Amino acid sequence: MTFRIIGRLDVKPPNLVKGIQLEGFRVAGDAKNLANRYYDLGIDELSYQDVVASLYDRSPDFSLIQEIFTGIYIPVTVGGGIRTLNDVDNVMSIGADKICLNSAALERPSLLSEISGSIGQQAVVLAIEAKRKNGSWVAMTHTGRETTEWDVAEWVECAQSYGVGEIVLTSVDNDGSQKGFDLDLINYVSPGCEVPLIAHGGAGSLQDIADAASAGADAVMMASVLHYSKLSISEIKLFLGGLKIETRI
Amino acid sequence: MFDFISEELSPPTDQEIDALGLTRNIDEMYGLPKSIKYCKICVISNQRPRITFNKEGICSACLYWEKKENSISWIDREAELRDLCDRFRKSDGSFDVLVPSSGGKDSVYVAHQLKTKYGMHPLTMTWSPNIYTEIGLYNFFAQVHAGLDNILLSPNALVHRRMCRIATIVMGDPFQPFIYGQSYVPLRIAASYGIGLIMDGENGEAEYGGDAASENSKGFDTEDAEKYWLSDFPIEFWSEYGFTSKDLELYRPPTVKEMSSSRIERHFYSYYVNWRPQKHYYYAAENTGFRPNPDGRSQGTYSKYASLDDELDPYHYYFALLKFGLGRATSDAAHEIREGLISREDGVALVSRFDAEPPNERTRAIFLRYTGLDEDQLEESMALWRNPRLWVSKQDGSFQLKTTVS
Repeated sequence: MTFRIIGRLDVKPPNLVKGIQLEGFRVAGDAKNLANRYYDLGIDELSYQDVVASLYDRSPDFSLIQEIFTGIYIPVTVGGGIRTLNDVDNVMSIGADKICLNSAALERPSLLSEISGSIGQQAVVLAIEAKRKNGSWVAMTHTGRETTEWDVAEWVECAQSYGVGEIVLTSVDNDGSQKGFDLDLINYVSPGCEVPLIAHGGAGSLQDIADAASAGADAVMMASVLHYSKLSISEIKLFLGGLKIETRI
Repeated sequence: MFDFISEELSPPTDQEIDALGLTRNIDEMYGLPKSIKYCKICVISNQRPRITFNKEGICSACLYWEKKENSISWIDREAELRDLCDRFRKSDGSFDVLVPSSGGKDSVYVAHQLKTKYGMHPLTMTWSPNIYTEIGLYNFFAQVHAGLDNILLSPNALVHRRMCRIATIVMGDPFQPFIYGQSYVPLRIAASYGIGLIMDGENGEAEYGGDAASENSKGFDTEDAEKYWLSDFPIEFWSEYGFTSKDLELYRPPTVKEMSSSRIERHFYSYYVNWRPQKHYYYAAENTGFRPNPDGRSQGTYSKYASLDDELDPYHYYFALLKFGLGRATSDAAHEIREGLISREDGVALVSRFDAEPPNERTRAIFLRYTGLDEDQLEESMALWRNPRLWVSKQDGSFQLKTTVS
């Protein structure tokens, strides 16, 4: 399996935003422009995340999602505010390849098996917002605004029993810092993770991506480092190729 | 973190118990208008003391922010700031500006900019929160490790705790004793260190809605501080409750003699630079190691980056909710709407979801232990300060605001 480079688009409809430690709505560009640019420059997948839908108790903005991803022919994951099978249907029918959930899954894990049963397990992405606490990591929800008692490794084990296709592991602490992924977190989760593990939060340099791969990540998801043009997709793939980490050409 | 409070505070005196039994006319005390109106642009209501609305139904803070975007020349204002700094900058290594700073995003932004952009030599001064939260203490040290000198002043906790309790009962605001530190102590420290310039962060009256006459003000003097920050209760009030001059030494305003030998000017950074709180969060996170609330949103709101340093904070906001029907989510949403980060519709959704959230069990336990109030006395204090015009009691004994923003 190739190592995937995934572009993350945090959206507070209608704006593309980028926070630090999952806080802040600073506008970071135009979602459609960036989606197209990353697609043209060879990104493997795109991930759309509505960062306020759960917080505002709103549905995803289906028309905005459709508008952003028209003409884009790589896998697209849509998340944020997905709570019901109806939401899943709506998102899939506008062309998403995978759906992503966090808050709703923690509230009712059986939702994962219901959705897997409906669209297939491979299309179900579990997002985990992991926050360092007392020597381990706890799972947060609502874009890092609510905390739970779930230890992240235990939640991974539980969620997998219900059926997930892959896991996006976001480091709340490193998000937006460009100081590197939380490698300890990846090391903690990776042994118990039976599905592809996507590292997210903190990418800043080419070496960071290589380190994430060494720690057990199967893919990386990045936002600010791409939005602010600190790294380019081609240099990332070239660099990884040099380390014999196979990426999609 | 709060487990270090070893001393049990002596319980409320007869004088305090009597004060619990007095009725308060909140509307009269704060000059609140009888009929509630909400701003058409943000989510604040006319129940915020001193705020005004124009005939289009827009609050003074929103009008001021509109002015900030369209009518103020920030280039000119920055030139004024440079002139101000040129006037006060010292070249002998001594401190040339005092920045009252909690270690929070706003004050750290001000201090760091004065140092790195304007070539000043700031001394930051922190008046201790009632009880430091872990994240508050972390951010306090982060400012020091970002290259800022600091003095931390902590009043005698046995005095402060009793003042906090009396302020809760008699003023309906546990935070008044804390506010003395913000108002007066910078003057004392500036005088002691021979610093001629104090740079506060924002002019709250202008930025968040208050006395519109103060909008063009560059700063306050001690007389204004008493009017705006101390809700008409001067420090002399405390001697009536048995506090001696020794007890009040750290809080008291400077004497005329102490002030006369030093020429001190006190300015607002927000006069010189367009004040944008969330921008300061990003600045502090990127430049000084500032971290938001590790447990997610703060109580009574949705935000993670503001006012994180005091375990008792939720009670400051909760008593404001009782008196004015305006909680913490309202404050946060109002300035984020003005800053263009969220829409009014977003703000309404956030306020209705979080504003009326009471302090949680853990915070309640801390507050009771800190103040020496018992459960009944806390309930009585809250009942005393719950504005009957704004609240209605339900069948199950709980209370609900009659009107909320829409």
